[in-house]
Amino acid sequence: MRLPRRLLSAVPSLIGIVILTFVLTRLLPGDPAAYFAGPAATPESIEEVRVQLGLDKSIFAQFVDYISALSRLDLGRSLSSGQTVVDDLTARLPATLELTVSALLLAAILGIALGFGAALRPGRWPDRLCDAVTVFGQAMPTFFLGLLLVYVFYYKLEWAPAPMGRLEIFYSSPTEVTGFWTIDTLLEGDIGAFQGVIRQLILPVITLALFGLGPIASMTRTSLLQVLGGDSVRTARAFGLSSRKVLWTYAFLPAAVPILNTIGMVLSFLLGANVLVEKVFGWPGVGAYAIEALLVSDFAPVQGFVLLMAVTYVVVNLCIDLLAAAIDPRARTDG
Amino acid sequence: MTPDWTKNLVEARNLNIRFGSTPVVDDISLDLPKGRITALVGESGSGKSLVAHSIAGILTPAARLEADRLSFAGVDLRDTKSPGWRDLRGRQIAIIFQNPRAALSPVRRVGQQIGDVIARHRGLKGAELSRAVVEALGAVGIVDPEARQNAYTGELSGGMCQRVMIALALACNPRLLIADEPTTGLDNTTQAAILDLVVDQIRARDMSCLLITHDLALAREYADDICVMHAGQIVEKADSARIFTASQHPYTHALLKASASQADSIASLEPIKGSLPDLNGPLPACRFANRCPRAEERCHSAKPPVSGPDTARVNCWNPLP
Repeated sequence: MRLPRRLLSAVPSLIGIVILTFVLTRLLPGDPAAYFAGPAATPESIEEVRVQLGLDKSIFAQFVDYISALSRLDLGRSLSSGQTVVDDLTARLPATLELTVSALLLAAILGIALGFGAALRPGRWPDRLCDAVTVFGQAMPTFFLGLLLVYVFYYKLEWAPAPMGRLEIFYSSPTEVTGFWTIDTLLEGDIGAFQGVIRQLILPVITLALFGLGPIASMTRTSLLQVLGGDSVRTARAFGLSSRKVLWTYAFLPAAVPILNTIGMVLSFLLGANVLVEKVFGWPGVGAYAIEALLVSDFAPVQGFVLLMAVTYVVVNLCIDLLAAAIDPRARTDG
Repeated sequence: MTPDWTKNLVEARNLNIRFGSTPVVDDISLDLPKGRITALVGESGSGKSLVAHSIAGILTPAARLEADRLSFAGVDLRDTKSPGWRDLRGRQIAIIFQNPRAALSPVRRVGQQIGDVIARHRGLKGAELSRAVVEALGAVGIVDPEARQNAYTGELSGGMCQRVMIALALACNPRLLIADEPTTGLDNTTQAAILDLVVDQIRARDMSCLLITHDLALAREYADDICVMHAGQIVEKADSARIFTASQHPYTHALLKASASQADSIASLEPIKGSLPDLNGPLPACRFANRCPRAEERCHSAKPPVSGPDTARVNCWNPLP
């Protein structure tokens, strides 16, 4: 009963996303027809390109074209790569996912650990550390942090490899099974390449994770402090339950839903921050692809990218809601 | 240290509880004998719940406790970290609270919560554990305990939550039940049903009970002994019957005249003059002195003496005859 209803509630968001991506890309500055006709184009040839691209039609007609193509899962063709946008995105999505998921995992684990420490020792050093890391992560723009890390660890210390993609060129890329190269290299039993993949991942993952860490840590701290100071934890203590039981079952579980929701929110930050971080680290993901397309007013890939990210966001939040309902009966809204 | 059951269950001597420099509980001494229900009665802010919490070991970290003696069956309760004390809580000392819905975890089935406590203290597992949980729920008059054990507190009424709380408290057959305003949030009918249940169980299991309440009439109906607190001091302790017929302390006397169940009509109700003293300011030695019609000079300057037998003790310079 619950699952179908929650799934249905995602439909309006999806419709909104479809409309918004269309409008947004039409509002972007620049004339794609002029760009693709080339610098030597005459006004006549620009017009010709415009008709070819269907950009001469009314906005409404363009929208109808867009919707009917979308229903066939056709996101159009990238004018710069010549490939269909669906193919381009499919080829690049695993790189982005591997980066984002790794960063989210690291941010969640570190954030929850920091928040835990801070909540258990309020006002003491774990709390200060939590504060410091949160402020640092929030104050530092991701692309700048990325550049800083590259400067220090690649250029100065030479600990990190060149920020050029998922694997240095002297390794052979693994055959894609999952698309996550950490897993694919292991499946092939190529330990050298696996270590290479990890080395490439470290700096961009740290960049993104530091950015996402703050909200998770502070929400863990706040939520846990509230439960720890509450009556149910007092009861659990009064009845002599072990501190581990009190902490995990009676404090962390009721505090988990706000933390989960924050993780969902952080994921959306990361999907946005990805665009710049991929650019800095030469990461062949969908973010770098979108920003390159954006610079040349190539509508279709940008549209496809925004749509993909939005759908990812909706799907992830759906999963988080379902998980929250599984953990906490108060998060079950039916009834 | 192992418990010595020949002693009084609880012995408190010169118990002080402070928040910063504010002396909230002032030098009280209190014994809880075996097999009796003792009510600790006082207005809100009189410190009665703090006394209960210090015995249950759940004083808030902001509170500082000092006592010459605070023991349960000979075991020192002042060091809440000691292993001997940890084994007592929930096993020999159990507590039920004013707001049972908040006191229970909202994300764990009530049966699981009772199971956690039984597993901790009685070491039961598997089928034995689930049988004990159902038994505990059944013992407090919950109909269809098999089904109810799967409920969350959000699915139960306030009265039902309090029954679950009582089942939790009685699950390990403790020697002492601390009932901290157990019925304050409940309607009158449920209130009576819950207290009848608590008292029946205490008598049937030969337990002792410390009943914290602001309601004198309720204390008389259910308790054997009544101990009256005012602004962090114990002013009088007596048989519950005697308090009503022959109260000796002016505060108890005033409290009785101010309570609806004692008055013949609304017009004859007499409110107590003034309010609880500000505990942050300078305090008279007897904290009731500024409100007391019988106050004398020495009430302000020197601690009132304790007089009378165990069944009718009063802390007053100038008790009523």
